Amino acid sequence: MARTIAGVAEAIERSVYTEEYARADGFLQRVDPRAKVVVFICAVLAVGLSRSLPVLLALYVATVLTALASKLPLGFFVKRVLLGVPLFAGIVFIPALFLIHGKPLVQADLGFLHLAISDNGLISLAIFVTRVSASVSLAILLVVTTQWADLLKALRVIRVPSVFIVVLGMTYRYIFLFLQTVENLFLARSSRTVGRATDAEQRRWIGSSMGTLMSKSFKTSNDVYQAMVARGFTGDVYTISDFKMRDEDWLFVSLSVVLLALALIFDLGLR
Amino acid sequence: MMATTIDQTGRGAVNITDADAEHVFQLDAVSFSYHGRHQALIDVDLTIARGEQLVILGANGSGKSTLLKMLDGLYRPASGTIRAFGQDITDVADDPVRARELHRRVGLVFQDADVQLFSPTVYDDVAFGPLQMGWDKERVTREVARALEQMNVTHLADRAPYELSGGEKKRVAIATVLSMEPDVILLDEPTASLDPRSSAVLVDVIAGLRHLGKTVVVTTHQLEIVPLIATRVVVFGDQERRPVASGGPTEILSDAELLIRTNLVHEHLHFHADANLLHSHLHGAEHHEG
Repeated sequence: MARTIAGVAEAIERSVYTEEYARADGFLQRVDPRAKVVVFICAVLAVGLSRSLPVLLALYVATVLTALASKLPLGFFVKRVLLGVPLFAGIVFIPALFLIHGKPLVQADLGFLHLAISDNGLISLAIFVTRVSASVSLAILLVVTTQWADLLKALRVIRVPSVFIVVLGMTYRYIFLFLQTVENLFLARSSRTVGRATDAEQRRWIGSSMGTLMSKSFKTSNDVYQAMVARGFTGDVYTISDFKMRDEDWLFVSLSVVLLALALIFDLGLR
Repeated sequence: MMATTIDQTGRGAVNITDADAEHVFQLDAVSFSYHGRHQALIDVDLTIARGEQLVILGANGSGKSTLLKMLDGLYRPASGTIRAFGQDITDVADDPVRARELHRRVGLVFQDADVQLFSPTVYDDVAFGPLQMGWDKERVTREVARALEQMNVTHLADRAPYELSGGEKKRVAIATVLSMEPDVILLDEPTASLDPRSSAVLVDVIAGLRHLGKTVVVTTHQLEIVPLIATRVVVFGDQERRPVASGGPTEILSDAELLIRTNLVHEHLHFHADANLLHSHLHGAEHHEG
């Protein structure tokens, strides 16, 4: 568990906190964050509404090409999505695979149970997995090509409630602090442990560590609240935003919306 | 000259500032306890004059941080009264509107900069206070630029707070309160856990606040920074939980008996040549030779 937490902390620090890709000089990095948020919301909607596999595949490929144009390594981007998402989405969908009727492709008679995978079932699975992969790819692409501060500001501009954005910002701000705390708890324990602890001892220790972390997070939240109150916070959050949309940003939004609309029209034609 | 020692048995009847000076804070018999159990402050009498650079010295657990939070209206005393700028602020923690005005005039820099810097960027953090005050965009922009420049952190404006070094975080934390144009700045253990170089830079920054016409109150137990930033020193006893002495930095720091009694220096036996001698030392200081 210590190794897992250290690994998670390191991965977050390396891939998220350094904002290495958000600072790269790529295509999406040059686009106004508000334009990006609007286009990505439209793209996720288009992916959600599409029902044909070719259109979904085209949207996924377009997402991967945009990632490449934004100087994201293909391995980093595709692995991140393909390793986890289809696996979990597939597990969710597997029961339905046997319930959708159509021309049977694979059959198994277990005596008391007859299992059959139909062509419609397989197509539905492919559509579902592609849809999830494309949606998650879009979300990852937006997050890794936009600095977190700019993303939060962009959300403000599109009228996402301030409280939600403040909570989101603080979660991001402090989650790494707590991961470091957990890592230190494990290190402190290792430095005072000789031999291997029994399972019961391990469970007891993990339980008490969770309690310690909880009380630490309560204290921190209380301190942060006091620090906010000390600077005039009374429950409402006021912010400043200083983005300027350029002609290129308007062009990006317009072209993207038109292309997504065409994809949906094409999708309707294929049904 | 010995430091003025405050009456240990009563509430401290000694006048610790010039009675004719214009007072920013006046505390009269203020007590505070956490959850009604742990007594953090007991019958504190204290007056702070406008323009003072006051250092509150005290060992860990002597109530220094609690005192600063009370001066900023975050805690309500269990008993006693607090006046700020001539007005009673004893109950201000229960009144958000009055508290907000107090928070504008009194800026508190917390000991842990990570607590104070909660926004995505340094700029957002420095702008947080002015925006909560409802100032217009031009004024906010102007004050943020001024505060960043005063703390020499303009180049960090677009950086995320977690990317900064300890010293940079402290300077940004001070900028977050300077942007609200406060009359008083309260700094809680500003040089704690900083390396010597960052500590020296911060001491210069704090000393420089005097030239901005601010009243500055600093809590610390690091004696070496006191002569560099203080015009007056108040010593809190860790047993008494109230001021036990007040005076100029030279007077206080030369009163070895007082410093030992309040756990600001420690003494122990060790050998010098062939003699076994009792010496007092600053916290963390190396033994001297001879």
